[in-house]
Amino acid sequence: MFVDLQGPWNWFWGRLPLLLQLHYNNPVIGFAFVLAVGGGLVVVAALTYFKLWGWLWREWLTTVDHKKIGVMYIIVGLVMLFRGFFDALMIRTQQAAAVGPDSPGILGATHGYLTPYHMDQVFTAHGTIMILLAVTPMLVGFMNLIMPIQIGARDMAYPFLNAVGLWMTIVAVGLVMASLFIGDFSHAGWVGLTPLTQLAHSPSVGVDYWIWVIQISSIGTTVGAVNLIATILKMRAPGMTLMRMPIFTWTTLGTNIIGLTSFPVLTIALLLLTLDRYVGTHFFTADGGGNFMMYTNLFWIWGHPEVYFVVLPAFGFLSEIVPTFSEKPLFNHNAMIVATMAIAGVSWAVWLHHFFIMGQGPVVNTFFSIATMLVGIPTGVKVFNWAFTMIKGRVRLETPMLWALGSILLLIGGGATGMMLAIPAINYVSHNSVFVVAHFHNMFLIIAFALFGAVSFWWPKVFGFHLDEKLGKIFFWLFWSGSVFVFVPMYALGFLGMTRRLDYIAHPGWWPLLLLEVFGIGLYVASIFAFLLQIVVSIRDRKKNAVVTSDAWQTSRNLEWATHCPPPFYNFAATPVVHSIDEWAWRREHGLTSLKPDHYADIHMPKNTMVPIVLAFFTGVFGFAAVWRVWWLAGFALLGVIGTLIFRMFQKDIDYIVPASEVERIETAYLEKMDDRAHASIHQTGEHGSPATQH
Amino acid sequence: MAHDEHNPLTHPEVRSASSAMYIAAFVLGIVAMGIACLVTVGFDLSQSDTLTWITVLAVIAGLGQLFLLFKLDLSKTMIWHTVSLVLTVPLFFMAVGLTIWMFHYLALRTMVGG
Repeated sequence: MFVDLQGPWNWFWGRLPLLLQLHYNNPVIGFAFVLAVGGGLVVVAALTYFKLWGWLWREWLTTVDHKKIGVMYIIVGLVMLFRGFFDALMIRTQQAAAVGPDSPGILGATHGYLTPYHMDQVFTAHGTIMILLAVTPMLVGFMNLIMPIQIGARDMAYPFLNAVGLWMTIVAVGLVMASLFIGDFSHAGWVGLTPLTQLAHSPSVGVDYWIWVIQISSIGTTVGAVNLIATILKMRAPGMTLMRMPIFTWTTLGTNIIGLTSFPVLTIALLLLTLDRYVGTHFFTADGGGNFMMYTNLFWIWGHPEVYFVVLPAFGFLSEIVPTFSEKPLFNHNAMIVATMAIAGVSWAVWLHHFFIMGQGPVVNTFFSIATMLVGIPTGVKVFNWAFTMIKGRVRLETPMLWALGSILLLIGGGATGMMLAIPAINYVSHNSVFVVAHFHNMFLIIAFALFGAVSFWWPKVFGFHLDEKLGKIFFWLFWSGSVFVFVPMYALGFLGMTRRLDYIAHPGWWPLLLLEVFGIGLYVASIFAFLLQIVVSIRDRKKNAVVTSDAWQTSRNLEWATHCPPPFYNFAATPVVHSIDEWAWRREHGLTSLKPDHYADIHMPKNTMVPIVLAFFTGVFGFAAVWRVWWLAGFALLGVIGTLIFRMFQKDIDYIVPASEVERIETAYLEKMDDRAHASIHQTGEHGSPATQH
Repeated sequence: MAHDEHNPLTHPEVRSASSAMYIAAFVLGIVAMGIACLVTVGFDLSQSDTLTWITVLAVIAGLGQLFLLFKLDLSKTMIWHTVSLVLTVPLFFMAVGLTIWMFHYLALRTMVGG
C-alpha cells in the first residue's frame, strides 16, 4: 500500500476486515436496516406475486425511452428525498433533545440520542443526498421527460447514453445506501471540509464512500448534460427556432451548459483528494506543501454553478405553470431567455462568496460581492415577468399554481437573505451560522416547491389522469406550514448566534425555537402522508380523473400538450411543424388541435438494451472495491466496464422501424380511447369534453 | 435519436485516427512530464522559475493533446468539438485567473498556502 492505513488490510479482502471491528448494536441503524430491507422485500414479493418481473425488465429496466428514463429518475429522486428527509428528522430531533447540560442522553450519546460522530455522518449524508441524489435526479428526470416532447423530438439524441446516465445515478444511490450498513459514511460535511477529509483525520471508509458516490453520480450528470445539450441543439422539430423554444427548454440548455462546464472541476478536485487519501500525495493536506484552501476554492468553483444548475430548471417549471394557470402568454419571453442565460453566465463568477472570511481581504471580496449581487438583476427580471404574467390574467389556484406561487414567495425571501449574505461584512457575523443554513434551505425549497408543482402539472400528461386536487391542496398547505415552522425559527436562531452542525446546544434560551422547528418537521411528516395518500387515491380514481384531451389543463401552451396523455413511445404520430412561441396555444387559437396527422410515415426508434445495467453492475462493483481498497476486484470491474463499452460499440442491432401502418393502428386506438373517455366524461359530469378527433 | 452510422469504424472521428500522431502525442506528454519532474524534483530553481517552467511544459503538453490526440480543427467533423472547447476558454481563464488573484491576496494577508 502507498499509505499507512489504520486498521487491517489484506490483498484479498482489502479493508473489509474492518467490518469485524464495528459494532452493529445501534437501534437507529437497525431501524434503517429493517426499513430498507423490509421495503425492498415488499417490492420484490409484490413483483413476484403479480408476476411482473418480465414486464419490469422489458418495459422499464432495459428501456432507452426518454419518458420512462425520466420517470425512473424522478422515482429514484423521490426515494432519496425520503431518505434525506429521514436524516433531517434526526438532525432536528437530536438538536431539540440535546439542549443544556441537564439534557439526558441515550444510545451512547451524552445528550440526545446521536453521538457526535453519528450526527456528523447524518448531516453529511443529508446534504450529499438531498443535493446530488434527490433534487438533481428529479430535475434531470423532468428534463428527460418533458424537454424532448417540448421540442418535437422522438427521443433524446443519444438514448443509450441516457440510460447509462440513469444507471450511474442508481449505482451512486446504491453505494450511499450500502454505506448505511456496510462501514460508515463521511463525517466531514457535504462539502468535504479539508483537511478533515484527509486520511489522517478520517481514517475510516466514510470519506471514500462520499468520494465515489459523488464521482459516479457526476458521470451520470455529465453524460446527461452532453445528451440534453445535443438534443436541444440538433433534434428540434421544423420551425422550432431557438427563440421559439419554451422557457423550460431554455433553462434545460442553460442548466446543462453549467453542468458540463462545472462538473469536471469537482471531478478533478475529488480526484486530487483521492490521490491524497490513496497514494499519499499532498494536494490538500495541511502540511507537506499541501494547500487545503485550494480544495475549498475548487469545490466552490463547481459548487456555486451547481446552485444554478438546480435552480434554473425550477425557474423553467414556474415559467410553464404560471402562464397556463393565468391563461395568458408568459410576459416577455425574450427577456426570460436573456435572464436565464445571464444567470448561467454570472454563476461562474461568484463562487468566492462561500468563503468571504477566508482572509483574501476587501479587494477580492468586493469583486465577488458585486458579482453575487448582479445575479439579483436577471432573477428579479424573472420574478417581475411572472408577476406581470399574472396581472390581468384569469388566475386559477389549482394545485400546480399553488406550488408555483409558494415557490415565487420563497424566492423573494431567499433572494433577500441572499443579498444580505452577498455583503462580506454581514458574512463576518453570520458565516457558519444557521442563518446561512436557513438561507440555502430557503433556496432549495424554491426548487422543491417548483418540483412538486411540476409533478402535479405534468402528471396527467405522463399518466393520463389528474392527481387528486383536494389531497394535493392539503399536501401543499402542510408542506408550506412545515417550511415556515422549520425555517423562520432557524433564521432567528442564526441571528441569535447559533452555529451550524451542532450535536449539542449549550444555550437553553434557544430551546423554544428548536421545539418550533420540531413542530415544523412534524408538519413535513404529515405532508409526506398526504402526498402518498394523494397518489394512492388518484390511482384508485384514475378512471374518474382521466384526461379526455391532449391538453389536460385546457389552457396549456407548449408542444408537449400536442400529443396524447400519456404520449406514445414515439411521442408524435408525425413530426410537428412549429409556427409560433407557445405552439399549442397558437394551434388552439387557430382551431388546429386535431391530433390526427394528414398521413402516417415510418418511424425510426432505438431498441431496448441491457448494456447500461451491465455497465452499472461493473461500475457498482468498482465503486465498492475502491472504497474498501480491494484492488484486484476494482481492476476486474474496470476491465468489465471497458469490455462492455467495446461490446456496445460493435453492436449493430440497436434500432428498428415502426411501419406507418402500425403507427396508424396505434394512433387510431389512442384516438378512439380518448373519444370514449370524453363521452364517458360527458355522461359523468353533464359537461361537454373536447374529443381528441375534434377539429 | 441521432445516428446514421452503425459501424463505429466508419465514424468520421475514428476515420481521422492516426497511430503516428497518437504515439507522437504520447511521447510529447511523457517528455514534457519527464522534464517537469526533473525541474521540480530537486527544488533547484526559484519558485517563480519552477512555476514558469512547469506552466510552459503544461501548455506544450496540452496543445500536443489537443492537436495530435483529439485532432481539433475546423473540419466539418471536428468543428463542434473545437467550438465547444473555445467556449470554455473564458471560463477557464476566469476560474484560474480569479483563483490566482485571490490566492495572491490571501498569501499577502495570511499564512495559508504560504
